[in-house]
Amino acid sequence: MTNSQSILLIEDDPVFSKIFVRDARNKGLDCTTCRSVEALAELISFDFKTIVIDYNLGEGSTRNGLELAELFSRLNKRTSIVLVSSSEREEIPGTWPFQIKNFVCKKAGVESVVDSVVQITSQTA
Amino acid sequence: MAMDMDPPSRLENKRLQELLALGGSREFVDDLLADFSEQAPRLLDGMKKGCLSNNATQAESAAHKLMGSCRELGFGDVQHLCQQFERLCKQNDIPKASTVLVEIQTSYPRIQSEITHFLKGPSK
Repeated sequence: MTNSQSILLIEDDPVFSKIFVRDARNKGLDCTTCRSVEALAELISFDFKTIVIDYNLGEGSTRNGLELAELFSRLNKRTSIVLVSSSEREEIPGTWPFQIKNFVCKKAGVESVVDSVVQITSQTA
Repeated sequence: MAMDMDPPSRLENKRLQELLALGGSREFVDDLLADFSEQAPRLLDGMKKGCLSNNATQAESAAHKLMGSCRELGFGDVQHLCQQFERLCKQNDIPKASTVLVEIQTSYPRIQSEITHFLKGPSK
């Protein structure tokens, strides 16, 4: 199902997720999605090349995207992380782990997020 | 002159046409619209309940999600209203946010018209 070149998208909006997955596949990326922090347990042992995390995972979520990024950074230092949000970069407080290679504001569109992942994946190949 | 009719330009959602090209099939866009139609009323309800209970966090969270989906599907009017609503909730200004919510609720049927217009359109 997943391999070392694959992408994990953690996003609770099904509309964003489905557009992302289709565009990613069109651009040659293998993508797995996860809608909630709670569902991550089954995926946490996989070796994803890049993880795309939505900062705002909804009111019921136990962690925000930055906290998840910190968790993944501790688990696997080789994984690149792209943080996305509808908010601007300046509106997200806290210390950002080194593995966050890029931040993309969702206002730029799903396709821009995918393009960022393509770029990062090719740089670290 | 029929004032209650949307002009044709409003109903030509360019973003849906882009998504049709991206997905390569009507089914792909239909699926996205079905997801939106399923979640939007729930999010509107969350915004309303947040306002009624003076819970700005709940209202803001629901608006944030609705704004994102509207943006991805090209429903710009409601997207911008949700953005206003979210900003007012962050300022804890529930009275003004409630006013914007009424505008959102008034505009929402227009989105349903766009969806219906798209679904009735020619198959690719």
